[in-house]
Amino acid sequence: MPAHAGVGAAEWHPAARRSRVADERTYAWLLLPALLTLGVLSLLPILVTVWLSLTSWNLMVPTSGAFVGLENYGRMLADRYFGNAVMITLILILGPVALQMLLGLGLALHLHRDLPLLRASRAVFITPMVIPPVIAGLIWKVLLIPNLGGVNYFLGLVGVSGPNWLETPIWALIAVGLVAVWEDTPFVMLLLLAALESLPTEPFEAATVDGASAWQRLRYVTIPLIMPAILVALLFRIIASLNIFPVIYVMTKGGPGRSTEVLSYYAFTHGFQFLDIGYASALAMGLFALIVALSGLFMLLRVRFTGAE
Amino acid sequence: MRHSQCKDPSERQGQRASLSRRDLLRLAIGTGAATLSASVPRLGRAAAPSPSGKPYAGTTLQVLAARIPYVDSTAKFIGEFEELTGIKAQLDLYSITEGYQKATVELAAATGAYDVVWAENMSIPQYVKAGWIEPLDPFVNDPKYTDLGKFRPDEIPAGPLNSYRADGKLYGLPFHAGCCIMYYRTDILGKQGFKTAPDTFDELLEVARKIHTREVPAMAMRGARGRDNNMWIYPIFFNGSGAKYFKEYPKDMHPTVDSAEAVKSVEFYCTVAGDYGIPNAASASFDDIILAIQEGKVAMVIEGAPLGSRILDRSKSKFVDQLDVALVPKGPAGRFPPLNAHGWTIAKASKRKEAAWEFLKWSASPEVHLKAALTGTHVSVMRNSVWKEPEFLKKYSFGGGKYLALFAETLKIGSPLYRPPVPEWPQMGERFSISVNEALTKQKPSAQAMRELQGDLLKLFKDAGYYKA
Repeated sequence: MPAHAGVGAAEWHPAARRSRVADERTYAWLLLPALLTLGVLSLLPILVTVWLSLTSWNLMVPTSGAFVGLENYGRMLADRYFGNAVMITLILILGPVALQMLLGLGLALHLHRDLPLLRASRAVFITPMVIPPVIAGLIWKVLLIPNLGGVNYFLGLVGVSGPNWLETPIWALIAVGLVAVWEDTPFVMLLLLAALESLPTEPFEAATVDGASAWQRLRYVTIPLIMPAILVALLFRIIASLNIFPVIYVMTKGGPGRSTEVLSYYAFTHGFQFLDIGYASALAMGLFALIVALSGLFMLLRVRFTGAE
Repeated sequence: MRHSQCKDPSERQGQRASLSRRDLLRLAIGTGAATLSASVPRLGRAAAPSPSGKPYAGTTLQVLAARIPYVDSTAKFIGEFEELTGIKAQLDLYSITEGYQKATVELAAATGAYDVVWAENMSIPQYVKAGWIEPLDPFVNDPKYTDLGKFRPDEIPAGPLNSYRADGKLYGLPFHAGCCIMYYRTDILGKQGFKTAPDTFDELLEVARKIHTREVPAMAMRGARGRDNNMWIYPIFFNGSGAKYFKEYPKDMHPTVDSAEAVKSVEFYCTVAGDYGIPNAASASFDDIILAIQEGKVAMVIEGAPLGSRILDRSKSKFVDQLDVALVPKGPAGRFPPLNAHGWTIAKASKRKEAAWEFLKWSASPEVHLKAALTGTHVSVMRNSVWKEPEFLKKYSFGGGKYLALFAETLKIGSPLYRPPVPEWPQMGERFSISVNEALTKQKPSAQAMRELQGDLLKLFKDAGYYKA
């Protein structure tokens, strides 16, 4: 009898193997439409953008479109406004994402407590996440009007004189960042709450028995156990935070001056306002490179904190 | 279906799977074909000429339009055009910003998907340079297409009509012209002894100084970055101060935006809009300005005359009875009220140009303009005769007719050169707006902002081929 005889013997029978291969082919055919769709919708636009970034195509000039190699990339690197856009993009990633992670973890820990009122109020915390970014930007633009919106009014009630939110570079950056935090913290909260609720109770019981304080339990038991979820949330937030474009489009249009002009908005103006498709495509690839760099950094962090490869 | 003669249950399973794959493939191909046929874009159909008086009956026109009061009104009775001509007009409506993006992409693609395309006058040089739109003179001047006695092009306000000319040819027909007037609170000015609105830049500054308070600032003007935001208002002061965009437009296209007059105009604008302005001046677009004046949070605004239907709306505005209107102030070089226009053009790639011209003629008729004005909020009618119609005058009778009189006068004196009609206006306007916004928010002194602007514009126009050095 073959070594694999027994319960799984039927699996290794030639007829069974043929049947399995046939099944796998069926699965492949069933997956093919979805893969083709994803390929067309995701991969093809990227490849086309790469090609366009190597041309001089300007919609306004019918005879443009010649292959120019890396000329657009050279122009990009020499463009001081590109450098400004990258810097603003990094500020509007790192700041809001850090706050989202901290607040999201805090909210998740609170909502994880076994209190009926807290459990019932979870939906309230999720609300900002379901509002489209354009609507969120419009709402906050009105709320932040210094003498007509609500924010400065309520700050005044507690004796704080609110700033002219969108009128100075620093406050405009803070305002846009805070809107991003308000919108996206619920996502982090949900992810970490799910992770917390799936944790076994035994390690916590053991830690309690050993006399660990609440802070020690959090630091040495909870956070290490949910670290994979934290890193997943971090990766999602880093990539998604590059889509702050709708909020900026509605609230500041990249202003005051260029103080909230992120790379996606800069590429948008070149592509859709100036019709300089070649250069806009190069800027888009610059944004892509930034995403790849940040994702690579994340992979290093993941190895460091979880040991996974 | 084959008979199953398998020796083994697993073989039978494999056969069933094999049959499923074939069926699956048939299903996939069928679904794909159905999806493709459903996604083929609608194309207007050109019909054979009809023997009746409707030579293009049966044609369907695709019209790309932006949501402007005129379009919103005419969309409701567009069926009348079909009754009259037998031509069906399908309107695709977009906001102005999205409409511009859609129009440029569609015109550049030259598929003929749209026959009639909305265009702002500032886009005409760009569209003409790119070869996207059809000149209209062959239709206007050919009796086969146009009865000049009925069409009366001389009846269309000259400023907006001429803003659709390029290289001596007409490329569009305006259906809406935007210009700006000043709306001001007579009670607030009256308290400080001012019986009328300021008429000059110096008077404006004097009035602003005297009436400005923290609770009710003196002035609100668009200050947000963008060629349709601060660059819609600021050129009042740029042109009025005697500054020039170029050395000698169109012969010498070297920019001259860092001149002493230009810097002074920026400083003046920043003083009035910033120091004596609303707290959110640097991010204010027209919605913020309208909100401020409706809520009584500002004493004077310079905003679009067509927006009077909102500013002077009793149901929305708290202080209508204390509001009056005036021309925008003039500077040492004259009075330069903002002027722009929205209109229809015919796409070069359209295969139904003659039918498209029928639509343009119908749209431009006095009857359609009057009906749009009476059934909606289209006050900016592009037919001189409609301005005298009793029903029109009654509906927009604010100030005993003063509002309409000022609107009409502003249309007359508005210049198509208020902003430079060059194909590079999108880049120039956006870059200009950034410098003005930087000065307004005190990120840079006015002189530095304009010097940097000058450097960027020199490069822009050099790269565009206007000069070598």
